[in-house]
Amino acid sequence: MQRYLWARLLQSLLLLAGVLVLVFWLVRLTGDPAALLIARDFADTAQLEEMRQALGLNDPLGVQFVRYAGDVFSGELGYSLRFRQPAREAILAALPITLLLSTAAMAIALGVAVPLGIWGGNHPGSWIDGLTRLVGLLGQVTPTFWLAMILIWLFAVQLRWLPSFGVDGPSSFLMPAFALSIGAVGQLVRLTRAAVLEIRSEDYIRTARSKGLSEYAVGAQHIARNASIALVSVVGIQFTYLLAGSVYIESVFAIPGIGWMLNESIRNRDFVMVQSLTLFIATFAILIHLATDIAYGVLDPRIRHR
Amino acid sequence: MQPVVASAAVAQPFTEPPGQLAHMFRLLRRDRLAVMGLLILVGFVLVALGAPWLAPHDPVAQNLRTTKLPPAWQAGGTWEHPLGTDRLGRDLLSRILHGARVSLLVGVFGAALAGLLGLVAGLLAGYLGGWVDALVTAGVNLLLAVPYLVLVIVVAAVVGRSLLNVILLFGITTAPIFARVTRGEVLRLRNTAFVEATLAVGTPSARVLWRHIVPNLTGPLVTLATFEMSAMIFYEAGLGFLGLSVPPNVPSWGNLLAVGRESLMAGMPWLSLYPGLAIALTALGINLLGDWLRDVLDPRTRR
Amino acid sequence: MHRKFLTVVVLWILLTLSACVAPASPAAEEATAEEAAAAEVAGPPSTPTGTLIVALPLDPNSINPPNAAERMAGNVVNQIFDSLLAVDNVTGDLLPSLATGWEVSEDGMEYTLTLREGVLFHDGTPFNAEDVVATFAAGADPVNAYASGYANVTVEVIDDYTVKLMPTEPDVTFLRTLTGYNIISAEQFAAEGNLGIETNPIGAGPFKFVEWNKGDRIVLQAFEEYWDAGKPYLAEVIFRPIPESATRLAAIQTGEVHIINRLNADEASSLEGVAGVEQITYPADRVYYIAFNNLTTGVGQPTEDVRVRQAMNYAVDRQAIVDGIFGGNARLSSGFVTPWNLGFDEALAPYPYDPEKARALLAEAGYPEGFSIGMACPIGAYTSFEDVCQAIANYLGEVGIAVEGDEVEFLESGVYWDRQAAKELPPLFGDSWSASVGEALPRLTGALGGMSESYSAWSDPAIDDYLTSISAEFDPEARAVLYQELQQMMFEDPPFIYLYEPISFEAIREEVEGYVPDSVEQYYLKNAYLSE
Repeated sequence: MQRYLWARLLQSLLLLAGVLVLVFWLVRLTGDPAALLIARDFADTAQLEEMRQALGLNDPLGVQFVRYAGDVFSGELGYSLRFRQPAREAILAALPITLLLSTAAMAIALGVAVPLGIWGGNHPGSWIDGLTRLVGLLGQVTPTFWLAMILIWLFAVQLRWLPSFGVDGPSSFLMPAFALSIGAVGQLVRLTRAAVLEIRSEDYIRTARSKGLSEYAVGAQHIARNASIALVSVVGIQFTYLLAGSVYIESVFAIPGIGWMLNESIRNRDFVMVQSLTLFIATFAILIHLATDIAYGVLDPRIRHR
Repeated sequence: MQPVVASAAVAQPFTEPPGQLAHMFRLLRRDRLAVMGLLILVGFVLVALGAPWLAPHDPVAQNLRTTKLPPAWQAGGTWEHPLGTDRLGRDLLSRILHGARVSLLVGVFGAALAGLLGLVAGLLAGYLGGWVDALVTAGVNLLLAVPYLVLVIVVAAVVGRSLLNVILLFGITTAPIFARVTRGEVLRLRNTAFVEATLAVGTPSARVLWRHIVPNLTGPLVTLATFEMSAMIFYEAGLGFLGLSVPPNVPSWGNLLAVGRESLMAGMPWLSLYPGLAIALTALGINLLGDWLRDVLDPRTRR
Repeated sequence: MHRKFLTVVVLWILLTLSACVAPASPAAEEATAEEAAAAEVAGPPSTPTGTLIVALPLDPNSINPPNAAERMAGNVVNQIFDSLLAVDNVTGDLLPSLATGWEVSEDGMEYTLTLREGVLFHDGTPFNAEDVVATFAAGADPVNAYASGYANVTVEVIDDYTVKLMPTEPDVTFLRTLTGYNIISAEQFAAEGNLGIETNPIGAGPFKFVEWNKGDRIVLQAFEEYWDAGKPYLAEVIFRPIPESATRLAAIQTGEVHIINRLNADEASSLEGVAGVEQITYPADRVYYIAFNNLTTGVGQPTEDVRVRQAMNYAVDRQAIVDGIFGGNARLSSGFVTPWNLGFDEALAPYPYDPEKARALLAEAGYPEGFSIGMACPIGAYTSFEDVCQAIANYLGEVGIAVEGDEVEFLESGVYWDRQAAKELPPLFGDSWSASVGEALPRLTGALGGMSESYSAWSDPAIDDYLTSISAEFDPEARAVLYQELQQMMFEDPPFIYLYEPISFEAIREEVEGYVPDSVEQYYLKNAYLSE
C-alpha cells in the first residue's frame, strides 16, 4: 500500500510538471501582455518595448520558465499583473469562495439526487421513477448561465427573496449553488437509480430477500452501501466539473472565485496567474482522484485484491 | 454543462457484441420515452437539413426598420416573423432553424472526431501497452488537467473563431474521455480467456483487435458519443456565453442564447428564451435516446 | 407514467415561458407623490452620512493612478486622489484643485503652479511640492500603463508650494491633461514604492481607501480632514464589480446598488417606470468609425481612391443603424471632432445616405461592379458594435462592395488590439476613440499618425501638416480655425467611414443626488449625497 502511494505521488508530480510546461507554452500563444497593460493613448512602439523589457517578457523562454519555477518552489507563485499582488495571495482569497460554492452545490445535488435515485430505482416504472428521470434530464438540458439569469429575475427582481449578486452571506450562495448543482443532479440521479436497479437484481440481494430479510433491511444494508460505491466514483469527477462550471456561474452572480479569476487572468494575459491557477486546479483534481480511489477501496474490498 | 461519463470503473462481465437491429427496434418500441427522444432527434436532423426550405427568411437578412419585434402572438408582433426579430431585424425563427445546422455539425463531427481520436489512442494504448500506453495515458492526463477555458482562449487567439475550429476544439478536448473508456475496455477484454485463447492459437493481433475487441467497444462508445453530442451542443452555448463561439454573425444556438441573454432582463426575453428551449429540447431528445442506447448496447446494464 | 412525464415537461416549459413574459412588477406603480416630494427637500448633509454603492462593469485593473488604465479604474482613483487641477463637468472649465493658480510661459513650455497649503494626505502628512515630484517619478516607471505620459514631464521645485512643470514636447492640451495626474504621497512612494500604492493607496482626495476584495468590492470612507471643507457628503462609498449586464440591471431594480452605467438603449428603456430608478443620459465624447488602411493591408486596394472612400460613406445608412440598434440615441458623426471639442464645425453635415451616389462614385472610380475587401471588428469591446459592423457590411454589400469571405472578421478584443498595433487588420476595421482633454488632437494623432502610432493605419501628409500646426498653436481661437479646416479636408477626403457618437445611459436610485458623470464617463463623488 505504501509503495503504491509513493508511486502515485511520483506520477502526480510528473503530471504536474508536464501540466506546468504545457500551460507555460500555451498561455504565451495568446499574445503580448504589455499590449493590454498599456494605456491606449500612450501606446507608442518605443514605450511598449520598454514595458516588455521591464516586465521581463523579452527574456528567453528558458529564463522565464526557470524564474517561474523558482517562484513555485518558493511558494509565492509569482506576481500577478492583473491582480497586482502575489499570485498565491490572490488565489488563497478566491479559493474558499469557490470551494464553498461547489461544496454547497454538491450538497444540494446529493440531497436531491440520492433520495430520488433510490426511490426511482426501487420503484421502476412508477410515476416517481418518471419524475426522477425527468429531474435528471432537465438538470442536464438546461444551460446553467441561462437558468442562473432566470433565477435572478424571479427570486431577486420579482420576489425580492434573495440578493441578485455577490457573496454577502449565506443567502447569496443559494441561487448560485443551486444553478451550479443542476448538471450534477442529473448525473447523480441517473447513477443512483441505475446502481440501485443493478444491485436489486443481483443474486445476493435476491438471496437475502428469499432468506426473509425485510425490505428495509435489504435496502439499508446492501443497496445503500453498494450504491455509494457507484456514487463515489463520480462525485469526485463531478467536483472537478463544478469547478469548470463556476466560470459561468461566478460571472453571472459576480462572485470573485476561482472561475472568475481564471477568466480574468486568461483574458488579460496574466501568464503567471494562469500558470498558478492551473497548478492549483490540477493539484486539486489529482487529490480528488486520489481520495476517490481510497474511498473506493474502503467501500469495495474487492478492489484491493486486484 | 458537463460531459456525461459512464463510470468505467465498475466491474463488468464479458459479453458478446450486442444484438441485431431488428431486436433493437423491438426494444425501442417498448420504451416510449426513447421513441420520443428518437422523434425529437429525427426532427432536429430534419430541421437542420431542411433549414433553407423551412426558414421563412434568410437568417442573415437584416432590416433595420423592423428590429426587436416580439413573437407574433404578443402585442406588436406579426406572423411575418413568428418568433420575432433581433436587434438587426433578422428573423429569429429562421436563425434558430439555421442554428440547428451549426449545432448538428458541432455535435456530430465533434463527437465523431473525439470518438475517432479516442478510439485510436485507446486501442493503441490498451493493446500495445508499454511505452505507447504510458505516452497515451500521459497525454490524456495532461489534456484533462489543463483547464478547458485556457484551451478555448488559446484556440481563439491562435487560429481564430470558426465553425471548423470549434469542432476541432471539442473533438480534441473530448477525445481523452473516449481514450480512457476505450483503453479500459481493451485491457479488460485482453485479459479474458477468450481473447487470450485466440491469441494463443496464433491469430494475428490486428485481426483479434478488429474482430473481437472493436465490436465489443461499439456499445459503450456509441452510448458515450450520444451523450457527448448533446454535451457539445451545450458546450457551444457555453462558448457563446464567453463570447468565444463561432463568429457573431453565424446563427448558432450558443450565439443566439448569449446575445439574447442581455435582452432577458431588458424587455426582450424571446431573444434568449427560444434558443434556450431549442437547446434544451434537442439535448433532452438526445439524452432520452442515449439512455435507451445505453440500456440496449452497454453490456453492463443489459439483461 | 409517460403522460405525466410529458405533462411535467410541458409545465416546466410553460412556467419558464410565463416567468419570462410576465409584465414588470406592479411595484412600478407604487412610487407615490409624497416620496418624490420628500426626495427633493433636503440638501447635502452637514456631516458625512450614508453609503453609496456603485456598480462597476468590471473589476478595476489597478487603483494606482498611473496604472488605472480603464475608465472605471480611473473613477475609483478619482475619489481617493486629487489632481493639481480639476474640470467642471458641466461647463468644461478648468478649476483649481491641489493647485490654486497657474501661469503659462509665452512658448507654452513652462507651467508654474501655486500649490494649495494646508492640504493633508489620508495618513496625516501634509501636501507640498515634493509630492508633485514623487507623482511624476512614480508614474514614469516603464511597467505603468501611462508611463510615457509621466516621463514626458520634468518637475522643478521652486519652493514648498510652487512647482514648475515642463513638458518635453509642446502640448497645447497640457493644462487639461493636468486634471488626470493624481497626486500621490511622496512619503508613501519613498517607503513602499509603486507596489505599496497598488495595495494601500494614500491620496489627498475626498475619500480614503479602506479595503479592496478583488472582484467583490472596493470600500472607501469619507476623509474628514479633506481640504474642501464640508465635503465629502457621503460617509462611505462602495464599488461593486458586476461583469454581467443583466445582473447589474437586476441589482439596480432591487436597490442593492445605487448607480449602474454602460447600459444599452434596450436596457435603459426596460428601466422606464421602475419604481425608485431614474435615468441619466449624456452624450459621449467618443467617435465610432470604420478605418481605412493605406499603410499596410490597404495598399493597392480600391480604398486608396478617394471616390471609393466617399462612396462608402454615402453607402451606409447611419440613421437607420442608430435608430434600429440604439433607439435613435446617438449623434451621427460628420468627422473626428465632436461638438464637445474645440473647433467643432457645426456647418458640416454628416454624409447623407445615398446609395445611388455611392454607386455612381464607384463607377467613376472604375468599380461599376463593386469589389470585395476584408473587414474586421472587435468582439465584446463596445456596446452593440458587433451588430453595427454587421449592419455596415450589409449596406456595403448593397452597393456592390462585398466583405471578403462573406462575413466581417470578428476577433476577440485582445487579439484585435494586437493585430491593430501590428497593422495586420484588414483594410477596413471598426473602432472607436474617446477624448478626455476636450480636444480631438489626441485621437486625431492616435488614429492618423502613420507608422509611429500603434493604432493608426493611415498616413496623409496634408493631415500631418495640420496636426503639426495644431499642436504648436497655443492660441485656442487660431487652433479652432485649424481644426475646422482639417475637418473640412477630412470630410472631402475621408480616412474613415464616420459613424456616430453614442449617448451614454446610466441608471441611479432616485435618492442619489449630485452625481454628474461627464462626457467620458468620469465623475467626482465628493459632490454626491443621498437624500432622506
